[in-house]
Amino acid sequence: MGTLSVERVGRIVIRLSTLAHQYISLWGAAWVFLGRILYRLFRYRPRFHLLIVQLFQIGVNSSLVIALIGLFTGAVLAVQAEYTLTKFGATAFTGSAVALSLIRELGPVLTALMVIGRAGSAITAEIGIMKITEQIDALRSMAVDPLSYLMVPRLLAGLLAMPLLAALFITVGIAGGYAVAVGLLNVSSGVFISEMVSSVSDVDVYSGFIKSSVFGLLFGWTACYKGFTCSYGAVGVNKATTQSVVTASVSVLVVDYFLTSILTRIFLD
Amino acid sequence: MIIVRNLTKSFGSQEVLRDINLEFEDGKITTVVGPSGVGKSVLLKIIIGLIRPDGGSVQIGNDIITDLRREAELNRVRRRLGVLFQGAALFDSMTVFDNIAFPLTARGGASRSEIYPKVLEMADALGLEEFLSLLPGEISMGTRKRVGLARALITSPEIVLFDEPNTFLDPLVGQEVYDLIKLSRERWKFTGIVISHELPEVFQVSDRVVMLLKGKVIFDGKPEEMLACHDPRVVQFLQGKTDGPIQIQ
Repeated sequence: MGTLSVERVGRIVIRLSTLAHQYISLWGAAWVFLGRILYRLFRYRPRFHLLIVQLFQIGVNSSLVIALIGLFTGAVLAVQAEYTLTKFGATAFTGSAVALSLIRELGPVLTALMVIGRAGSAITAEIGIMKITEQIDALRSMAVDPLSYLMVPRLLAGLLAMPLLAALFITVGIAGGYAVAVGLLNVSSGVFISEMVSSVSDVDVYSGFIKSSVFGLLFGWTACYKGFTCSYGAVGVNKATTQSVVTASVSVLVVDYFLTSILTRIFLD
Repeated sequence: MIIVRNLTKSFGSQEVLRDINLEFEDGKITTVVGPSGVGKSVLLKIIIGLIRPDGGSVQIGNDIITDLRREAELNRVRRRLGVLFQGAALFDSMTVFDNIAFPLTARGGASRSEIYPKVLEMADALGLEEFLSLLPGEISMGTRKRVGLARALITSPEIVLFDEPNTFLDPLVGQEVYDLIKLSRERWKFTGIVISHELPEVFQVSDRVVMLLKGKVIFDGKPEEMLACHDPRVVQFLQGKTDGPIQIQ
């Protein structure tokens, strides 16, 4: 019995160390992939027409759904904020609560999650299908670097589009919150706006912008990496697309916590 | 000339190519045949520089492509190649025109006014004029193969590689592809390597045939010599029989 237990423990240790090795290798490969794309981003002149196409697909095509989500997020925030603040007799701060929540947190995070679900899955599927149908091999055989041609425009477009989409989300969200607070909840219009203006500072805007940019990088990196490394067949593409959305979404939430902690510390000090 | 020396390649425990030695003569079409899974496409991809071998070398002209590490160096050699992939590998978001023009536009250096007539000339030569504005999803596989061939030839490469050009095609369209290979070789005078398992139809485009089996070259000669060969493995493969020394896996 004792020998069997030792053997079992040994097998568990081997299994865990194999998993750890695989996990570290995966992360290492992903960082090398990012490094290679960033090298090309700074080393070579970008293909602007490809960048424009990706900005359109990621940015413009996502704008309607981002605005819609923003509108209703702002509206819900106004309802929740007014309900909570009523308990303290502080409904005057509804505008502040809506604006600060959207600018510092919900705008960047929810925008990133929506774009990941919509555009991230599309990018992973597109690149994955290109891989399994040998289109990436065709690029290389024609002396065209697939990282420069496919990945750089997508990564750069994500980095540029995400803060802009977050700004759209926040703007429409504040408008939605204002409409509900003033139109339905009897918050004074002047009070809503004055409290919002006095409570939102440059630091809040910078914080939201930095978060959006980092999330844009995470989105492009994950979507491209998962597509580029997907295994063959429809199952491979399916798996890669799911992993892309899940990995990017979880990464955004985890990184959000650390970024919030760091940025709060930096800007408060 | 392309020279393959002592080439070996394994995937995990499976040895795909074992000590392969071959020479592909300039201006000739060499067909590499063999059962599925013997490493024909792997050999092709090593020649293009898409896969690194475990041992040996591939020399294209004065360049030993297997020694080149940087993509810029590999690309210098790849510019001398044209490749027709098994499924044509056309870019789904581009029209037929843009697919054919791609090798010229992506590498830069050629203006629209230079590219346009070249693409029209190629489309005319391969019967693609009416398809130029269509997307790959809107044309048949036979037409896609022709577009793939046009794209492979647009830069007038010295060497053209065909990875199973007749896969997914019916016999009539397949014959059309062989006719196009013959026509394009007459016109553009390239060195060709054709990967195929279609015997004896592929002999019509072959100056020389090489047969691979279990990672080794078991036949290297002219098509008529292969037809007259008494090696039971070659005979079994030619006759397409399941009984014989070649075991189906």
